[in-house]
Amino acid sequence: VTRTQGIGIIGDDRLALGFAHLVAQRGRSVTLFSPSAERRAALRAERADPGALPEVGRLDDGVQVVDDLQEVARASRLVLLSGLGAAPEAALERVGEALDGSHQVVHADHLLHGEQLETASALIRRYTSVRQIGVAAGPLHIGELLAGKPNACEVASPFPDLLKRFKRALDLPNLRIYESRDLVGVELGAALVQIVALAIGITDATEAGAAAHATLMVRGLAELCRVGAALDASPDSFIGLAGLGNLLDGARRGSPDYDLGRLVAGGVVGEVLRQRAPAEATSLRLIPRVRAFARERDLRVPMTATLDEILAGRITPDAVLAELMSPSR
Amino acid sequence: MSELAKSRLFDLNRQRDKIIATVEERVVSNHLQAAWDNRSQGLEYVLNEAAYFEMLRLEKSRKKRHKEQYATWHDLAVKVGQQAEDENAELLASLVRDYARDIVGTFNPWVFRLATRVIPFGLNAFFNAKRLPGLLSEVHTLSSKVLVHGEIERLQRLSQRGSLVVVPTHSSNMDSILVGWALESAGLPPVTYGAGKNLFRAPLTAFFMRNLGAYKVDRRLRHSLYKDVLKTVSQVFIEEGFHSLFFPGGTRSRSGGVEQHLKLGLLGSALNAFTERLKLGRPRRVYICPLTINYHLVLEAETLIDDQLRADGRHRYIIEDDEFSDLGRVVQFASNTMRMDNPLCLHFAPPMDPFGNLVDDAGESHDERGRRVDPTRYVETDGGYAHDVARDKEYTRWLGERVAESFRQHTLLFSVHVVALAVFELLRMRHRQWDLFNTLRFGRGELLDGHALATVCEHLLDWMRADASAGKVLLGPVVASGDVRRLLDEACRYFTMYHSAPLLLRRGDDFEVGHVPTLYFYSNRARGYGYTRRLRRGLT
Repeated sequence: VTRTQGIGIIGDDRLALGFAHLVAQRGRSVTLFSPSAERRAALRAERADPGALPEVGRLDDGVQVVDDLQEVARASRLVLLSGLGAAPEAALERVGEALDGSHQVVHADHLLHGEQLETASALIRRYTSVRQIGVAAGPLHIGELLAGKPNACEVASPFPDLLKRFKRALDLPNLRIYESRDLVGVELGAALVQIVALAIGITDATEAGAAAHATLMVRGLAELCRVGAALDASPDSFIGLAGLGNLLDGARRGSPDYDLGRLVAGGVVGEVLRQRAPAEATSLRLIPRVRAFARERDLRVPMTATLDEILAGRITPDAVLAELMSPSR
Repeated sequence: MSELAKSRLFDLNRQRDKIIATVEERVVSNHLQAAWDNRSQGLEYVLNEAAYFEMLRLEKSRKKRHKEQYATWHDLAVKVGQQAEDENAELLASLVRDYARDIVGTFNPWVFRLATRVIPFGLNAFFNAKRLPGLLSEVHTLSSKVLVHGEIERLQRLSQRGSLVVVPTHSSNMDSILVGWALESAGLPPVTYGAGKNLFRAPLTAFFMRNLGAYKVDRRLRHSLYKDVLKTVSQVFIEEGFHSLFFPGGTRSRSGGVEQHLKLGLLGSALNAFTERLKLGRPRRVYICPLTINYHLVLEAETLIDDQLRADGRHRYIIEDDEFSDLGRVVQFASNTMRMDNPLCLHFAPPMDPFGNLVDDAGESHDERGRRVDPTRYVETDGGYAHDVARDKEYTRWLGERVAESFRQHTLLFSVHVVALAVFELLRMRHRQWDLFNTLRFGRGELLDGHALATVCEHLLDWMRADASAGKVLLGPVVASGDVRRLLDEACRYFTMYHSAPLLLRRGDDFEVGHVPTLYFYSNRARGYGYTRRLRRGLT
């Protein structure tokens, strides 16, 4: 197997396993590394993961589960990183031991890290010597992909060769991949829209109506664009699949942050909310940091500020609507 | 001198024809290949573009020479549409050859030794006139006052292992002379560098520019063919093992601020040279060496900030007449500089590879976690090593960011910068209704309360010292001491020392604001670290 073909996958979440199976089904080589030795052993023995990927009874034989990250590095130039989580430093440190300047890494991490809202690509650059980095984002559902339903996502990187390779590796008949050069914009768009999802979750739960829903979405995106611009992101990325696409998808089927909003509308705030929040909801930790960042950069973020107050229990959830209807200051 | 004798620059005259031939071959074959691959619009377009910009430049001139040149370009423009592709290729080659000949300089070891040892107004005379009797006696001690520090030993070692590309900050036309001197005094080999054509005409510098390996950059030529030749010259120099220097900010910092938006074209030639050597199977390491040049007072500060603030900036990139062209001002500046405790300091920041990784004494690259990195892997393709325009542009953009960050971290903030920032921000706070230009116009003559100014300076010193401890910036001795009284004393002394109008005057316990634009110029050096934001938050 030459390094030009196939893909290396580091991660063992639903996205990582789903892609591994689908790509291998197309006859391409897949080298998979799970950070957990236990899960690696289980995947090798059972060739399935009923917890993360119940739809697949047996992983395609083309998926090779390896015990050493170096094997991933040797097998493929293109590597997909998935499930980095809120504290990816240790994982990236290990990845940095194996990958080098010849690798092209696409991550699927939609979290922002630290006070300066650093994206995963910034962390990958810091913890590894990899420079060719991209992100995959959008309203992508592994279950639908496996069922043959049409899906789309956006892959962003300033490196055209990485985009080409990623599209070639993930050449699935029911997956349309859009390209973007705005790496930071797509990373930020995918992460920040969860704030708007929370706000919409609140207003939808209070049955404020379709007009309030739409207005909040538009105003929320405008606010996020201001934050994005301060971090050199293009506003276009916020209205692409990673931003608006994710938001519409979450508001329609209920994303973790949208569901969190509904919980908040029911009066659950503060510590209780923290305990009951869906594990995948990211806005809870994100909102205070975005607000602090905006304050530092003199950016107007009235929606984020209102949500921050609500989450802390200082004002009631109907303040979202009050803020929406108040004339701009 | 033995190390210097090894420098390729001493070989330049012998290598000159070969370098010009390589440049010609490279540029012409790239254009032919691009035309062949349909990646460009063909040789006719390249030649027409050159003719168009040249005719545009020359059409308004009344000089006889320019009129003749205009006619030649006009004929060329007519001809290229009518003649065959191979004739256009020949025409292109002859233009490239002429440009390359004009650009590539010569190196005269005799002039180099003269400059570094004897000539009073030459390099060493200006900054290191230990052997000079009487004449310009102030200059006598200057060499002891100009500090050169940083990664000197590492660069000495690296100069034996690969090509150095020194990239300094740029505030003054004195910079290139100063860097030449600093390299020599630090035991580093001489470098070749691109210098504006005006420096080849200025009486003070022309002789040295022509004989010390500088290559000539004619900024009036705006067509892409000339830029191609220029970039290729700099790349071939690096490939051939010449140590180089260029100012990545492009021109002198008009604002006085530390350059943050760097020109990537020439920076990219370092990466291209590295890749080309790999492709040829003769690998040679290339080391990017950021250097900050830190002045207390900048010779051309008034002209530079004036140019920055002028609404019509069309001619901003070519200032023909500034303080540097005025010998009296230069001597006055040198004389005043002698009265300072630490007039200027050059700091060699940690060197990096063309991908922004830091390199150690042995020339090996390391990532941010300190792990050893093989830089050849970045340009590896499935079948070897290759240039890739889009990929390399992105690598170079990243390198530019790392160099800009290094500039910020290794800039020395002096008392003048701190006090200028404090004065300027106090003015902005006092007159909130004023915009920047009103502050610049009407700020002069304002009386500032001494206690208020000292308080603002104290805040700034606290933040700067904390940042210096965290490796975010370097501080001059008085700023590092944290002593506000000394800070204000030193700044006021310097502010009245050289510029045509004083910038800040003591009036009893208070301070009178002088020439605000020049104060603004000095304050800009301390911006970009978040101090203004913190001050504004604190002062509101």
